[in-house]
Amino acid sequence: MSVAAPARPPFAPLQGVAGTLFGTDHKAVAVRTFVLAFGFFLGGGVLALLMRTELMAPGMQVTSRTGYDEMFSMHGSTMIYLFVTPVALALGTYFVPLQVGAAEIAAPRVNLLGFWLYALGGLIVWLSWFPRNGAAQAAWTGEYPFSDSTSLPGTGMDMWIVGVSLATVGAILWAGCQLATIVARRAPGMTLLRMPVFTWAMLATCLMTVASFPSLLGAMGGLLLDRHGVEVFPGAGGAAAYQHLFWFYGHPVVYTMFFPFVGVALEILATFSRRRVFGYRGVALSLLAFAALSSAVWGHHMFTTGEVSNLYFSLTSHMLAVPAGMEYVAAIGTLIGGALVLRAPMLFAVGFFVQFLIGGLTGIYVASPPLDYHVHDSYFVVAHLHYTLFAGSVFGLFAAVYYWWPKVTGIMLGERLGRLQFWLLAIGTNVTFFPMFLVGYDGMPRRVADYAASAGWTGTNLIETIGSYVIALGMLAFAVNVVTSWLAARPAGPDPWGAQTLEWATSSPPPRHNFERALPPIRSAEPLMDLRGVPEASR
Amino acid sequence: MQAVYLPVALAVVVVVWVLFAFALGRYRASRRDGPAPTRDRPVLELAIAALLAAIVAALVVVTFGANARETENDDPVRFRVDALAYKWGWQFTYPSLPGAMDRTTRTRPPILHVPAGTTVEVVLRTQDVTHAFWVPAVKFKSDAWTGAVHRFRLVFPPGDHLSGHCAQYCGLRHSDMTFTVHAMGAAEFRAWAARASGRPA
Amino acid sequence: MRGRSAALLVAAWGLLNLALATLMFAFTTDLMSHVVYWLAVAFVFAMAVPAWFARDPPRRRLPEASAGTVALAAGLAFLALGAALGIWGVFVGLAGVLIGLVLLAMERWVR
Repeated sequence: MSVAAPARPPFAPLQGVAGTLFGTDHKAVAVRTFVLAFGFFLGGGVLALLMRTELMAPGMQVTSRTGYDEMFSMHGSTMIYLFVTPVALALGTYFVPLQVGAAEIAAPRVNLLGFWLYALGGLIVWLSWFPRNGAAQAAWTGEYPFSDSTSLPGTGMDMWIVGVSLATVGAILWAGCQLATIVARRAPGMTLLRMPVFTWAMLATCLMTVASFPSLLGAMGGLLLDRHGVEVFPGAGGAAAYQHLFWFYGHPVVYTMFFPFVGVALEILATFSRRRVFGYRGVALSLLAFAALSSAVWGHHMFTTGEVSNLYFSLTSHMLAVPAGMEYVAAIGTLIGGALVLRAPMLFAVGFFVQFLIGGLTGIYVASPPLDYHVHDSYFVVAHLHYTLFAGSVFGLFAAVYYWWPKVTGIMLGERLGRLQFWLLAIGTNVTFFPMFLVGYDGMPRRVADYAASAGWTGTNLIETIGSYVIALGMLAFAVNVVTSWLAARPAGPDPWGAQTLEWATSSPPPRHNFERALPPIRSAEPLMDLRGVPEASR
Repeated sequence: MQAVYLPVALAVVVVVWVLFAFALGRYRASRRDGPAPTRDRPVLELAIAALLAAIVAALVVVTFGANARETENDDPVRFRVDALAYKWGWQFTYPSLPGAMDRTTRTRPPILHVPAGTTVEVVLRTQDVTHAFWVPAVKFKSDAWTGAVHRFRLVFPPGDHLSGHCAQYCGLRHSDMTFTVHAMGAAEFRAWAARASGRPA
Repeated sequence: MRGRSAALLVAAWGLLNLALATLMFAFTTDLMSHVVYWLAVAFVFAMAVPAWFARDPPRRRLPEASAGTVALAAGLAFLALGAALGIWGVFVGLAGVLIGLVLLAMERWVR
């Protein structure tokens, strides 16, 4: 193993203020996105803790009803538009060019533009706390007609619309750059069927993103005009039109926040099983089918509106179980027969699959209109979506963080704190979110600032609140880990895990143009395993 | 519905978790010489995909049947309720009982009176934004959709304190937009109806 | 050449979408559902076209940093904010966009 280069900040080579603001290196853009998104994650997380504290007992403890409405609207908006979507795409911004052996992302300035639109959009969304009438209070969905200028007058809501739109344009630009990189910048020998699983996942993600996100811009543009005197969404059909435009984006975005983590989790399972991924073609095919289906299911958010074909959207939503199941087949098939090493990235990757299962299966519940008529807009849905996005995506995200941290920074994260973080998060997550299924099924609606003491939900809510503090402790462990490992600065070397794909064939962090030496020959989806003489998979 | 979906979901959870536990227990690097080379099994994968598709197909059939029973229910309507949602409260009137009306007041949520065990039609409207009528005891909700009228038929179990909520977030007093359902037996309901129509509000 | 296989893949994905969008005709006549979906499907096929013609970019030095891009982003943000803050936002935004475009042009031709 070669001696590692000393850890350098990932903004190299263009340092200082100019590098931070104007640098076009896709790696630096991705790191900036991560740093900013984790800032928003912190903000959204504090809001979540405040809300959980408010709901700990009946009565108003922490805030007013209006304050609570602002909090959950900003929590949802922050987590979806400003945290999970950007980090999911930023993983690809950093690693897709590396994994396909490209020296640079396609259209680096467009990529940079995407970052700045996202950053300014996020800033505008959070500045909406300050105008009179306060921040946006129309949930993360901007539900029309509640979001019109009669129900929600004030600049805060307008700023929310502008900020969300800018961040969304940014996401579309990022996705476009990654698609162009996959189409035209693959290294010689990197055929489509030799692309790493993560790159396949990003391909599916970006196709879906580019096809569906513009619909949100339609909804936001219409809403903005409507708030300023142009009647865009009149009557029953108008309200339905807003929801069509919103949910045509609003369901695929859930998979934008999911596929990248499926991809990286499968690579982690393979790497820490010391073998190649099982069912490579099945994974690629099912990701594409998954992505296509994702654009056909938006109406299941509208079952109770009476404005859509419940049967069509129920059928397509049920069908999602097939490609989702195939990802699990790949995961389990990779583990069985491997030689498993349970390091921190592996723990988070396994936790991702094991916990997401609950989110996925309850997704089949809400895909069935007769069940959805009961649980829609209840805490059951809150539990479901947090099992997909928190127990799923955030665990997948930390799997990616622990796995790629050495590559990006050149230093290792601490293993023991990583384990501690994993177990705190796993316990906190399930204690917080599982009881929500029960209170939701029992009749607790979502987006309520208060509930009656007579409803019998007090004990359950208290347990949930305690769970959320355990999650906060887990995040604290991560923060401590970042600081202590940065100070310890244990050099990672180019490939600390014995990994598989091209990003591990270069130094950590990679140089400005990604690869200083010639690439290893690309004869499979795991060129580094070929180098080590690991037998090829029989496909 | 729950009787079909819950066992299927539990079975899938058990199978998948057992497989993960088995793999994590059996295939530790510390207990083996090394990994076996990966061998794809396309036939097995296709078989699993087909099995999943079959389960999905069965669930879709069950769902379509139940959905038809709920939405195309043409049992004769014994009683009709007009429900109006507004920011932030409910108003309940009854076409067959012209004087009877209850709506949200400062001090208490309104009461919806219905006969239990028989088909009740609810005609739901909103005066302003979208709300939703949800009675967890009958496991049903419908949006009160802006500019539209939603009609649905429900059979309430007997109970003098079934809770009802607005489920669609609608602003400041959304949390307080509750109501109570009194679902009464036939005799009790007749007595209430006589009193309610005899004394117009 | 590399673009060809990717373009076919995008088109194949478009066909999957097309099949699902077509299936919806069996269930509903709701215009909005169909319009939203078919616009997206058409867009997917449109994406396959540039992919088909993609080729290796000419070897040229890309800028290490692009102030023009950042100015453009700030200009676009102010343009959009004009709706919320008032017309002055639009003017600031136009100025930002103009400066951004000039800087971008300089990055391209002055080098």
